Amino acid sequence: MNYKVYPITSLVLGGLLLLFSIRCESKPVAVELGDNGNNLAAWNTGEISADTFQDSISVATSERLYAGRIDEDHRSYVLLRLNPSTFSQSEICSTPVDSIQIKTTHLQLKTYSTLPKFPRTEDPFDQWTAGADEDGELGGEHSTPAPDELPTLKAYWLDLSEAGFDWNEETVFSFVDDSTLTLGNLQLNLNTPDAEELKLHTQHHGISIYFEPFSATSDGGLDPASVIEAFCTASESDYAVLLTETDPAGLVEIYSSNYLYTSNVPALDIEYDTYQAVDSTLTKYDVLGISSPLESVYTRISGEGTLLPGTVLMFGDSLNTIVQEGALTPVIGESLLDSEIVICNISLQLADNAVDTTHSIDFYFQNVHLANTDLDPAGDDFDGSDTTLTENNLSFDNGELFADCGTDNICNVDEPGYLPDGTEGNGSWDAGELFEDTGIDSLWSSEEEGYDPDTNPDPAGDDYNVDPAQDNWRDCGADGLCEGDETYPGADDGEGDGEWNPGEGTESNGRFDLVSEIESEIFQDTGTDGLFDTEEPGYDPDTNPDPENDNWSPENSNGTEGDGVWEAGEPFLDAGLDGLWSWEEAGYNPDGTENNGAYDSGEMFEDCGSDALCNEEPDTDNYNPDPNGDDYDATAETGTEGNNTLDWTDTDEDGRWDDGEGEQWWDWGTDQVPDSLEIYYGSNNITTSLGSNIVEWDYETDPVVTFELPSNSENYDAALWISRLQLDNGFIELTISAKSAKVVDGIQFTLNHLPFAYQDTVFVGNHPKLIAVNSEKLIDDASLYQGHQYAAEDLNNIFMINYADRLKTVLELNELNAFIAAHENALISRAELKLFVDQESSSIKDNIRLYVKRFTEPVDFSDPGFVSDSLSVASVLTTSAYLNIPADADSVVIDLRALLQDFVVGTFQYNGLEFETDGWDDNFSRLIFNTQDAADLNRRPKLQILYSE
Amino acid sequence: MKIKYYFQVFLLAGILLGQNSSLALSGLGERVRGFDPAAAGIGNSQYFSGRANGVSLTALSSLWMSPLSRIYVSTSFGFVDSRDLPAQQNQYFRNLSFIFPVGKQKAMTIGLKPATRADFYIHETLGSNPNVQFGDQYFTSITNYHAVGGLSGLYAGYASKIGENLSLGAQWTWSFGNLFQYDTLLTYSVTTDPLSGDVVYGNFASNVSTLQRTHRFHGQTLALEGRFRAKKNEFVFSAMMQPHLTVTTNHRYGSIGDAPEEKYTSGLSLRSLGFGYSRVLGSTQGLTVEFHRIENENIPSSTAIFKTLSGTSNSLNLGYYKVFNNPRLSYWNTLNTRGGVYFIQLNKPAGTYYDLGITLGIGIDYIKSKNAVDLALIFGQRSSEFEEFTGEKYVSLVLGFTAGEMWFMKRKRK
Repeated sequence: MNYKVYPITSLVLGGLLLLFSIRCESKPVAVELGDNGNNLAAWNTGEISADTFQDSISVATSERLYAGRIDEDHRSYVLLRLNPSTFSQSEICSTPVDSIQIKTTHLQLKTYSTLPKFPRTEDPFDQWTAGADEDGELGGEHSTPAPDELPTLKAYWLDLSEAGFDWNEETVFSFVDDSTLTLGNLQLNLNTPDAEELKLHTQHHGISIYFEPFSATSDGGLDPASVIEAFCTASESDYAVLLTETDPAGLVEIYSSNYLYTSNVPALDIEYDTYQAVDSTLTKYDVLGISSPLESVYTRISGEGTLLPGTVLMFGDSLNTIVQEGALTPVIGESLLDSEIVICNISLQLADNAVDTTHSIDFYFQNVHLANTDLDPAGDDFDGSDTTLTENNLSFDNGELFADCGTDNICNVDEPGYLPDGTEGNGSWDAGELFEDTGIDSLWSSEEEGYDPDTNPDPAGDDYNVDPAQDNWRDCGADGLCEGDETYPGADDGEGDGEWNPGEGTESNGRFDLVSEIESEIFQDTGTDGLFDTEEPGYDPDTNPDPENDNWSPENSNGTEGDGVWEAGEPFLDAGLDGLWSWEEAGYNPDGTENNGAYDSGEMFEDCGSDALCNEEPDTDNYNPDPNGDDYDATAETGTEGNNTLDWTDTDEDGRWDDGEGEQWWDWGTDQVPDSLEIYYGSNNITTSLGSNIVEWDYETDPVVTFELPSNSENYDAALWISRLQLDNGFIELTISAKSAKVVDGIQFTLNHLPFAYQDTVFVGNHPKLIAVNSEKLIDDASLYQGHQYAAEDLNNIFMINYADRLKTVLELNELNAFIAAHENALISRAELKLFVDQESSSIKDNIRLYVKRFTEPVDFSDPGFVSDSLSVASVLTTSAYLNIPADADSVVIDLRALLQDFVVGTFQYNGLEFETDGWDDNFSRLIFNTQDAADLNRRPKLQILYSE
Repeated sequence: MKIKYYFQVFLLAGILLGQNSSLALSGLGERVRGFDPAAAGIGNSQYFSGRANGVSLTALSSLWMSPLSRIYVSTSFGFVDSRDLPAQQNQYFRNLSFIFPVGKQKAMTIGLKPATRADFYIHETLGSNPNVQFGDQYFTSITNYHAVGGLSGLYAGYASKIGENLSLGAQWTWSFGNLFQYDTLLTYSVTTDPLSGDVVYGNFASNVSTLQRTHRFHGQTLALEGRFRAKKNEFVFSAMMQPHLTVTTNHRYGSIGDAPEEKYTSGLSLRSLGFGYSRVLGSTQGLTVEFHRIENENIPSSTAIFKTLSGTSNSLNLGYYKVFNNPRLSYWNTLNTRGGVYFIQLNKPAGTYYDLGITLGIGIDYIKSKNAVDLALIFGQRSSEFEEFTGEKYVSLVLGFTAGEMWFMKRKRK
């Protein structure tokens, strides 16, 4: 086989390109596809049957509770309890009984409407009791409250421990009659139960049910603590609270524990104290006072205030003396240096702490300051021998401060006549001084070499000229002279009128100037249209040489183009009759300095000052920077002011400057700062040894004890220590000693000790509002009312939705399956189910929510048992979970587009629709729609579909 | 070599524009033949190329006629002009194949070629569809249609001379491809201005429905061809069958998302039949005549574009060719000239439509006739069930390039 290398790379590349459809976008084209394309069509049906059914499950999750009259036949009552299994997990129940004190507790409920305030007094615990006075004593002067002063709401404590009945929110209760409830083996009269009435308060939107008897004379043993204990230890449903509305026509709607927002749900408000262990400390002594054996020493010890308790201050004088006289007497003076001295005695009293059985105190110092005055912080004061110390050495040292003002010791600024800003005689031109505007060459043009008035009027080329032709327009009137010009005679006609007048310049005057046919400003003879022929639209040299027909000719004598005459509209050059802009005119020289009206350097001037008066009387503008004439002249080497040299003669040889000795200097040392201004002048902390700084004293064993000088004190300037402790009958005498190698002008320290630490048990208050424990709902609640029970046949062909009676409706779109079968994969554009409200029969308070669902599995609606089965449904609404139907709604349009599309493509199977509501709004509202049998044909339900295929 | 290299790349890289004619608006798109430009120049022939060696690269039974190993690629550039529509340009890759001998007078081929192509964007004009009453309102709609994709085939074939005058060819093609269709339905409310009486269309903004369909194809076809040569006459007969074609369709609706997938598998079906005759006149020229019939695609109409199958087509092709041999030893060996006419009748449910065309072709064999460059011009006009495409005229330029070498042949060494 003879193989040759073949460039297959291109083929591979091409193959790859083949496989991938790289293409540009197609251009859209409009084509009438006719029947080949999608065709829009509509379908509708009124064959819609509705049957209502009463769901078997309880309406347990309503967001509302009802107490009072719900309709003319029925009343509702509210039953509440603390869920025992949940409550038992709370801290309240888990805390031992002897460690908790229940103070108050009540159930807090929130209502939808406002309630009258009860009781009407400010004292929340004031109660109207029969015959009780304000102290709760019977037989007092307070009368029984009038009936209209009593609340219509009543709460009762139900002891169901003997009923053998358990309930929760899903329980379906049994009524004997409208107001008698069966609870296990008990029958409870809901209007007048045989139970303890509880104290109840109402205000605004709140109901507070206290676990206390309504009547103070009650001896039922009901109190918050016992109630809470009962709930903690209860099994199942031993206890409950019943709330009734006694007003025959009244109805109170209350937020239930299933309400979405927890701020409104029923809560257990409980105030209680529990023992808690806390870490505590006790001070072991109290400070009584301080004294010092040192003579005239001021001492003070603080027990409170901004300083720490036990803070000691010691000065050599009283504070008043120090402030008034500004001097300090040492606490430890020269005579006491290097001696162990007692500086103070502090009196303490042992604290009576029964719990403290240590019988010992550990003392220590804090914030110790021993200070003396330091008059030479920089340390540069001459000590008599060290020549590096330059302050107060009675000798001027290089670097020391002196005033280089000359031997007169007067600086220029202080010399009489000092005027550095004087304009007369200052050698420079100042505004106002007369000058010759000759230009910088100081020569008038006529003096310049080569001058000829005709041929060479400006030999130096320095004449200022911005309008050589003198044709620039100035609004100066006919005489051409404006104010400021030489020989200005005053305003004449036309001057300053803003318009050109004869005699005024023609350049830039804004108008076409014409003197004669041959003397005028330059213009373009385009005609009034401002366009030459070639610029006129439609121009063609052969067929349309003059589109605007404005060319002048004998035949077109009205033509303005090319007539040699300027007409308005024709462009012109407003450069004056010379046709030259100023900068084009010969002699234009804006930079010229001669006769430019401004002083230029080099021009002669009279240096008489801004007042242009020389040597006037009084002469107040003479320039004089050195009145005394003593400034240093480096050239002549004369003058003493500003020569950087101290010019001083110690005439009295005292080593100090005195007046008249020349330039003043200060013997402050080379830092040029006197002691009093040196940093930290006057105070200096002395290094102080405290030893180990902890003294452990067992006063029971050693009631008297002494201590020696701390061992490492030689390394410090001073030492401070407790030298003696003595306990006598509960009183402590504490002696503090000091030893210092330096004078001590002030002493400050804090005497402290380690307190007695122990763990104490105290009552800590708690006041929670419990709605849940460990995320489990705490309060179970239910509305007790006798609901309607409908026979199934009574609900056939009825479209009625209601929450309280658990009424739901099944809707059958009878022809829908046929549509689905006939239009597989159709594209649904719109699909609407329109229902009409039977406004006469419906009863809606504010709003009612409508849920629209589809059955996800086939349901045999003919089987009555289907209502008790768990219905498998799914919402068909796409934009929200429900539709909000207002009370005055006339019809409801339900968008089923997405649902129908799912049906036709086979995503879901159509098994019927279900309509229901929830307990968010008024539970007893009733929404009724017309069925297909409605008398008004136009108000029957209909399904309309707009589709394309 | 270098020229050939770049020329090849140029041809192969020409996959830029694929805007279709009216034939793309049905079936699975426009049927795209794997042209041999030499044969295309002879009245759109399939069986005869006018080459000296008699090989037509699209005729199975002729492939053995050359002992060369060949790589062949062709592409076409087209221009379509209709009465009421802007001009459309297209560019199609036509064929890529590798042909090599597997024995004396036996050859095999593998290659890739398109079968159908669709690439269009059609929008309806507002007011072109009737109004529909929906409740108390009237609505109308327009739909924008966008489709792109088609069927391609990867094939392998075998050809052999089995007798003095008889040769046979067989080719197995694995069909694959995707077709994407995107329909946008815009629904407008229709009202009448009470003052002017003008029709007023509401805003469609909230009434947009979209449907995206993705069809995936895979299947096989089997083509058989027989050729009988006797002196100056040559007869060819071919048939193509499709054992099955599977179409998997996904629908995605703008309002609900994906719908359940649909799958269709067709059974065995006859796809095409053909018959051809060639008469050699003298030694350097000849006449050809062919007849072909192509059946509808074996797919459900719901899968077809606009739910319309392409229709059955019957075609008659007449051609003439003349070969000019270069008497001198030179770079090029023969100059082939070709011409022809064809007539296609397309039968659809909507009616019968016609396609009439003239072809011209030229080709050069060079470098010892191992290589060839062929070019064909096709001018045609067709009718259509769509008014806008009435008088649709088209011009196509087909280019083909063949490179051959003596590979896989044992040679005697002296």
